[in-house]
Amino acid sequence: MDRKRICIFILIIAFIPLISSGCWDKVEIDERAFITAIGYDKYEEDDRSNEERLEKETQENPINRYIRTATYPNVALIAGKQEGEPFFIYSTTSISWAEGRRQVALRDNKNYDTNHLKAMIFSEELAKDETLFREIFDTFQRSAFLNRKLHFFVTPNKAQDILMTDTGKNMDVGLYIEELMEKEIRPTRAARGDMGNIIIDLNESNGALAPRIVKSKDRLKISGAGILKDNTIVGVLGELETRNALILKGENKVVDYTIKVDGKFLVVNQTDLQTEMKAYEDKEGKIHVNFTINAEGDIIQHYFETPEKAFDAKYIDRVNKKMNEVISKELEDLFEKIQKDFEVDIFKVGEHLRKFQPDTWEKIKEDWDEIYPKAKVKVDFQMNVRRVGIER
Amino acid sequence: MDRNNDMIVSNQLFSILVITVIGIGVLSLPRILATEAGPDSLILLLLSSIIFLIIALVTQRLIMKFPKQNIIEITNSVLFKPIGILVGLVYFIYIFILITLEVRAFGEITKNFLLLNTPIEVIIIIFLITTIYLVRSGIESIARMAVIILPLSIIPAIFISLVAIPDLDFTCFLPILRTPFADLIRALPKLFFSFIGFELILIWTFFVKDTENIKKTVISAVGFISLVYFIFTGITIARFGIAENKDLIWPVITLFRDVDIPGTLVENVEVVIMATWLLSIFMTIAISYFGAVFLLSRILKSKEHNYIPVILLPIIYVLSLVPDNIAEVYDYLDKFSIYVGTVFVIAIPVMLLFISFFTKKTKGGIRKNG
Amino acid sequence: MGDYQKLFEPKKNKGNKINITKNLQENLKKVKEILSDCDDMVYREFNVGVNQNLKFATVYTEGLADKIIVNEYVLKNLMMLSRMTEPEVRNVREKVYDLIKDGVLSVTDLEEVDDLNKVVDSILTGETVLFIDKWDKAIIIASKGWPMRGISEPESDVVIRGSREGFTETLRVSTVLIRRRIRDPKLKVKQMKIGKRSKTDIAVLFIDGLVNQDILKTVVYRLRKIEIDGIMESGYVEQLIEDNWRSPFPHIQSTERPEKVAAGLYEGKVAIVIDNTPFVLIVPTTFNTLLQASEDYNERFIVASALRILRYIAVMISILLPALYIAMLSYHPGMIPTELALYIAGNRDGVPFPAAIEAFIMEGILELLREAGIRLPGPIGSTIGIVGGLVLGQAAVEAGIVSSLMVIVVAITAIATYSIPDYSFGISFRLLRFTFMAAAAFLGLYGVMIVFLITLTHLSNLKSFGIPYLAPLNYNMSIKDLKDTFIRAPLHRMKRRPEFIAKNDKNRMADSFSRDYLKKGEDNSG
Repeated sequence: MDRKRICIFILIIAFIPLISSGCWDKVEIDERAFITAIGYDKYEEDDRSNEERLEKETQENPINRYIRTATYPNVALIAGKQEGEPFFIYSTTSISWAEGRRQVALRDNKNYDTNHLKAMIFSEELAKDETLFREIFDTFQRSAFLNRKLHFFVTPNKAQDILMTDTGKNMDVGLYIEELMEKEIRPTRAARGDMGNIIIDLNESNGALAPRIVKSKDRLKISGAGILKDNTIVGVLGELETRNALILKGENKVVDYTIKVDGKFLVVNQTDLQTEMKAYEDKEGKIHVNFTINAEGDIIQHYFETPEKAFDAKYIDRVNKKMNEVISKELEDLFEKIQKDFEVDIFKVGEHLRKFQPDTWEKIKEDWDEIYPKAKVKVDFQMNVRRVGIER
Repeated sequence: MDRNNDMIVSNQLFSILVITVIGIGVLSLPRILATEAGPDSLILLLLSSIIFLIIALVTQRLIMKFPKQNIIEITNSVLFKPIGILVGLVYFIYIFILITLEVRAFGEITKNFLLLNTPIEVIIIIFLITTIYLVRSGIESIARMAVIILPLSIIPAIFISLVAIPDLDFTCFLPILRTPFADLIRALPKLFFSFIGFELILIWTFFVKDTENIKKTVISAVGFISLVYFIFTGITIARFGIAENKDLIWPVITLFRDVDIPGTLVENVEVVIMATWLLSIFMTIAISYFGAVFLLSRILKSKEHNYIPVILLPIIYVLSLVPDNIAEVYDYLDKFSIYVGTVFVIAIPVMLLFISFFTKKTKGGIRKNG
Repeated sequence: MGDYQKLFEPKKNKGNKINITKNLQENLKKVKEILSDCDDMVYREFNVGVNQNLKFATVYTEGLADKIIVNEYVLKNLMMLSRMTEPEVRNVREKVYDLIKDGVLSVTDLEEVDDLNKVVDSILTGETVLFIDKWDKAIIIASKGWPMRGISEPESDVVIRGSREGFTETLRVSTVLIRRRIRDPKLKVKQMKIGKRSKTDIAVLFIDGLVNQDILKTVVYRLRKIEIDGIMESGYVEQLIEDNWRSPFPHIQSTERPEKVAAGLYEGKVAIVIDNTPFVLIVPTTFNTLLQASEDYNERFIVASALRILRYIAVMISILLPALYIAMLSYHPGMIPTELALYIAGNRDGVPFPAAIEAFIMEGILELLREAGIRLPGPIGSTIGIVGGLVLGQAAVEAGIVSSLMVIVVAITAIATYSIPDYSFGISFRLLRFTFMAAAAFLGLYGVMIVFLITLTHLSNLKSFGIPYLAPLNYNMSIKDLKDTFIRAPLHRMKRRPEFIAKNDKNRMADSFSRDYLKKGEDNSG
């Protein structure tokens, strides 16, 4: 009994140094740099200034393929301890993600931590390069430490420039974008950039919308969407187009419309929106895609001192009709643009067929890429103006 | 450990069974289902649950024929003496290998999500030592732990996964029943991995005080396990869709990486889930470990067997480090559950029950005499 | 001779008996010999009878015996009254003893003994011994009466709503307080003496027919086994009879509140009252009972249930919060919401210690403060708390030694610990907290979970007198068993006693009792 006890005691004693020499994963929170946004640009040939590098580099083994820029906020400023720049930014050229990570580590006194990464920005140039896109995108998908909720952006500018923008709010770009995208009244004219959902969309329909971020007049702006297909960016949508695309996808719930009725501009604030998509094959073997959209809204701008009062069922009916006509057309045009110009199935028509018309899908799934652009679309937008405010 | 006063009640048996089974299978279950059955995942799950319930009832029938006996004694009564030892030994080896694989999988998952730079050896050895403490405490303590840990590990997970409900898209379970039926049947053995651990009931019934309630316990345990699987599989697949689920190694963990509880003190809830999951995997391994120790002590006919878990520890530790990588661990686990698991979960109990119908009459006379 | 006489029958020390002789002087000499150098003894020899021809002697301990009793009812009666009444001469010689015992001494409690050792024991307990010449027995007159503390409100275990009475140091007063709450002949009070030198009185209380016989037998057996020279406090007994001395958790409840003991007895538990201490032990005790305050039963069930849940949360906070602080800050900053994480990081900027060391320093200081506060007299004690808590914390933050969040964490932990009703239970959690912190410092959340598992395993191993410590949480977790755990069900729904203790009489209330008559309007209330 006693010997046993001594044995246990020795074991424990032997164990303590083992553990205490450890603390392998311990990094104090104040020694971490919480990267909030990370940007990738394609490495340009003319960025190359170092002659030595040129010599080492061969066609098969380039040393640098892209520029990685990461930014993290100045926490002392957030805690109110000191004044200074709101964020720090480090940029490096590298061949892979790991390479870039290690290179920045040489230059910064903090330990990088990507647990709180909020935004990832690809320049469109890089997004057009399928290899690079897939490499980097996979890194993000694979990591156990990266948030699936982080926002993915494409930018026509350089990602580096975007990250270096002064937001004017004394905060760094990552947090700024996070707040911008997550605010209660969501912006309606930029795509949702939730990384997890983009991955799902790409997996299911090989097409997704990624929000674009642009630098306009030294300030940031999220605007429109980039269309991803086959792991590259194939085109961009403007702001209104994005809005319409999101309506078709059923993701926009609150939208404002400016519409011209009887030569006067009205503003209708649409408050509720239900999108329903139906795809089917007709007897001639043609695929039809029908959207039925039910919307509700209030007139928030009419015309001062006019005999035609908005508080009038017949008038409202006219407004509804006009809106249905105009918006249905707009949406149909957009669908056809995406369908014909880019040949991207971002509305998951294929998935819809697979789920609800499995027989049809079995027949056409091999040739879907060819069939899809030929599908006929019809949008039935049903506006119901419910309220007109408190003035007749 | 098997003193006369070591008794558990059937309610505790329920917790033991549920927590043993749920432990490690649940994390990867949606992936297996999505890969095997696509949109028919839930139907395949339902099918496997029903079939497993039948198997469980067969096992239960066998147990009721020989109440308060363990697998060795049952085999001895059904067949003849040395066979029981042999079957016991085979079961021991089976459980033992299962433990080593589970320990390794546990180590890899923990390392992946909680302690990236800590050597896996340290993670595993600390875990095993903690397990030994419980194993040496005996079945009564294990039963009490199981009862307490079961709600602790399941309720938070279910609550948090409910947050994902607004994002769910249940249309991904459409179209219904398009998978060829033969494929579903063929996939069944793979799903038994998710039910592995239930066969240990052949050992636990030895301790159960109220034998008459075992049938009820078995049914409710299988039902509960299926329900939990249903909830997690349903939510996970509805959240990520079929295509994405095939790509995720542990879809359930990813589900928790994806949910965002607004306004809480914890941002990445998957760490919390990892912590509660740690509780249940601890119980899974501790319970299996106890089963292995119990069988070994019966085979060796040793009365004092507090030393057995200690002796087994280094072996488990070394064996668990044998697979080269996580893919290999899961490869082994899959193969193990399909080929070996099926034998132990289905074949042996069914066979024993079958034989016992014939040998009952003759054996009955012998048993009366001694 | 009750049913339990045999169980409690003292062991017989045959060898040690010293017989009382017929010679008064000899007896006195022997007593004086045994009690030599005991200057607090009072010996009084006197003569009784009309002729002053009967020699008597009394012996008692000054201060322990009530002088008034001795003077008024013993000496006065013997010396004055017996002289006034002329006994029938022929009976005097033979019957003098009976005469005195039955006719003269106006004291209720008398005992005749023939063993000098017993005589000495009685003297030391505060009884008065009367020796009579030419008689080989002595009369022990109950005259215990020392200055004692009155019944006052307990310092620990404070309740807002509930009885203000607390036990005192006198065994008899304590048993009386319990008896007043259980006026049932089935309440048994069995006494024994423990301690070779201290000979402390110990009373075992239980309700016949309710008590779990196994527990009772175990208690008596373990009490009997104690061989120690002195019992100072109930803590001695507690440590000598508890199941697992290695455990940090108290598995015998000690309380100053009579109604807590009475409630325990009604549940089929056993109470051990020990002389010289106001703390009464209740066995068996479970984890759950230690988190119950007696007030829980006095409040309406919604309030009480809410408070129960709060208390369980407090337990979790008091053991886990600093550990989680360390784990989250040093290992898993991803768990903290981004803005908070950034704020903490900024706040800790410049703090020279790692989170673990910081936490150890602050928690250590907190324990120090608490210890200092307890030892100091009331008003100064609270000053220490304020000075320590406010000034020190503030100064430490300003000096940049610790971060302000750490101070908050420490304060929350302290508050949570105070909300645990049982003091010794609170201490074990305070201790456990440091283990959790160490584990968190080494392995982060993984370490915390491992220690949590070890603690839980330990708790499920623990038994208090055969009852699992975690009962009733460890059985089937059905609503039936949880009626008195995390929540407190309405009183009229708790018709059964806890099943794991009461084996015999399980019904607390009549089955037929229900409050449906309110719905039916049978009580004429309208």
